[in-house]
Amino acid sequence: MSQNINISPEAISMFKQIAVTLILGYVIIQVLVILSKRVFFKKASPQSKMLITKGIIYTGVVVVVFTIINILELKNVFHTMLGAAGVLGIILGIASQTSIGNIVSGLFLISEKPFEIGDLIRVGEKQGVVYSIDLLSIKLRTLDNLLIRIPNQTIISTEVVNITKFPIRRMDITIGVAYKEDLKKVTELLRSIAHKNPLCLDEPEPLVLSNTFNTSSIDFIFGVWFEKTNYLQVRNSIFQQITERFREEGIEIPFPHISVYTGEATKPFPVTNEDR
Amino acid sequence: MWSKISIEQGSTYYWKLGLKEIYLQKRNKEWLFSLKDLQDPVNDLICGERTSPVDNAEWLTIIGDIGNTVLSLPALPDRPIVVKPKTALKVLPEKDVLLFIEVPLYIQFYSETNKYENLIFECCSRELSSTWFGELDNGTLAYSLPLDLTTAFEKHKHADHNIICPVRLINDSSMTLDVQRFLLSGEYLTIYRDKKELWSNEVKIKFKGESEFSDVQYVNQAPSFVKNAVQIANARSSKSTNVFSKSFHFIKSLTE
Repeated sequence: MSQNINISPEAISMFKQIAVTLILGYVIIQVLVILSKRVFFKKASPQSKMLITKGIIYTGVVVVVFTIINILELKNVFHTMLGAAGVLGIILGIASQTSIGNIVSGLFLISEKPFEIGDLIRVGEKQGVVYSIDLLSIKLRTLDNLLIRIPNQTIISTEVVNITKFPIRRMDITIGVAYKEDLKKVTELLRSIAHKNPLCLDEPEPLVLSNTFNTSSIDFIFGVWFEKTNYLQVRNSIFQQITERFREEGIEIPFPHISVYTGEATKPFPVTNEDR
Repeated sequence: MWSKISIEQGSTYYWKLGLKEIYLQKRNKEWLFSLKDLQDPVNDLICGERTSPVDNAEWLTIIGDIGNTVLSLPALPDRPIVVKPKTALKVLPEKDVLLFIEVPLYIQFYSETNKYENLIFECCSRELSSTWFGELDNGTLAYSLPLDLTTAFEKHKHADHNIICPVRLINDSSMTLDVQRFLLSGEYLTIYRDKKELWSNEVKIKFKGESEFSDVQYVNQAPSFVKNAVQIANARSSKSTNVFSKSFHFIKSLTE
């Protein structure tokens, strides 16, 4: 019942050539990637490393594919395909409109360089560290270690905030103090907190701004400058120091409260606490 | 103070400088370091063997070789220093001034010899606050050093936990130089010792105008006015004798 499959020697030779091309192509691409790492990567940024690696891989794959087409003697088929490119182009154009849009947006992103791999960015509601910049999308690793894929077209048309572009940042904290407090004393205390915290920079000077008369408090904006890598330590230590120093100095951080009056504007509603 | 010390297994040595006390122990192949903040500054440098145990110390363990010898050397801070005069200082056009800047001392500990790879620990004689020098998008992270600048060395009482850095500011422009802040890169400075003080080589900063780069020259020898100076520590970075950099910063108003 068994049937002998006759494979012609030409076909075997062709398969061998394809196998050798694939293996050689793979090896050459890998060697080129390793060589480029040794030659260019010492001082290159993660972004440049990614661009060089991807450039080598994509070029290598195209060369391998064309070599295989040549081996399979599909030139005629290929030429026919090119001949039909007018019709095919329209069909492909419609089908891959979004993908091409993403690729073109990706090229704009690479040339404009609003961020690089490793930068912490915010796109709309999403925030994360740029993990990779690919042909169709960028990938963000969020601070709670999730991966977000955002199409390049979305990035181009959305407002992107690069949080870690510059070496130093300012952290703005809104602090409310009770209306009875001495604002000058609060201002001086906040300045001294920034001055004594070793993670806060002396210059640019900390911002202390009496901002609003709120319903239950007078709100200050307290902005301290710090090295971008120290965000968590600065935030934790500043909050801790503000509460400690305010407690020591008897400065009240109020919670929202309402006074109810019985009819006279100046006298509060009488409340008595009777022990039973 | 600045010499090799042989530390027996299990014994503890201490160094007091400025506002810091450092403890060092040798245990097998490990060097154990601990730091303590002092309430009052110690003006003289003190070191010796400690006989009583160190209480409530947090130890940093460094795995090294089996040698028992440690070399302590002075160093300048690991970042540039922004000198901020406490009182206004102006230099007229075509004039120059020699200032004596007291920079807080770093102490470095090397296992056996002073090669960079043998550096096992270093710390400053006091906590230095960080600052930013330059524009917000393009500047340098540095340490801040508010100082009463002095042009007369003899009149000044120097603490042992400082290195005196002679800086000559040369106003090579047609405008008056208002010295608000200037940058001093300690990494290119060598340290010398005379009978009492620690000195660095002289730095000449030539101001050429507000928007121009300054010409910073590191004189490749001990200051000429220091007698019997002996070099005791190398610069952190390989020698650079002439650098063009932004050395002066002028404070701008936000509404400007």
